[in-house]
Amino acid sequence: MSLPSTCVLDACFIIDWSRWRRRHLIKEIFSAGFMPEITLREVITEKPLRALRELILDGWLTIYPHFRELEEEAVSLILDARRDPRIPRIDPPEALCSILARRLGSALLTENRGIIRAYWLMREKFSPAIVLNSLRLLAYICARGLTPETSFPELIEEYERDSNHSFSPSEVRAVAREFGIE
Amino acid sequence: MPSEEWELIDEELRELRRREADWDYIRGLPPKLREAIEVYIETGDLWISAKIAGMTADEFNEIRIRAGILH
Repeated sequence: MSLPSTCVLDACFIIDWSRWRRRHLIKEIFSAGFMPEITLREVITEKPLRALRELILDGWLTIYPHFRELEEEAVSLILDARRDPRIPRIDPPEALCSILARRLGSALLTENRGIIRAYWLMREKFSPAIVLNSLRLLAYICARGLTPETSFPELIEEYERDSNHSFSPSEVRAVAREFGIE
Repeated sequence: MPSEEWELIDEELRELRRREADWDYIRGLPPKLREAIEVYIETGDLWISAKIAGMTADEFNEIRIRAGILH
């Protein structure tokens, strides 16, 4: 799997990712990151803010200002997704992140189940963006050999411990298959 | 991934959140926060739960961690 060179960070992703001891690996995967202003407003505690400060001072992270036309496209995505009962709810900040990722042709990093499911069911609405949750990004890190001393299950365990995030065992198995790291 | 597999994953995550939650802590929270936590346990949706609690997603995440609920 090849990834775009840039990514868009959603709040629910960075809140957990910023607690992981190897969070800096994101800079080895993407040359630049973007975060909409509305998402930045959701981050106020010490660890995530410190991680964002590091990324901003490195010149890696750009805060993207709010534009009305992005909002209109985001509402349209929310309504499209709501027509399909298989898609859990998508909230406005995640929808805005998706639209920004689509405009930039970036990877969208999010934990929002609605966005992840919508991406699988109506990929044309996201193209050329691709959507990854932390589990898939960890699988990519493992498949690329960025943590050669750590197996995928060990990486998962480390991430869960550091971030208080938990993955579904079925999704871990499915993602390991997807990335050929079973 | 087939739709049934997604549903299984969502159910596994919901079950993990229910099982790991510190219900004594949750029962001691003010009503608004308790409602928000219960929405989170059922949906796993951080942003909407945070808005019900009147907080940012990050602030609400701290409550989630204290309540022992997995994200």
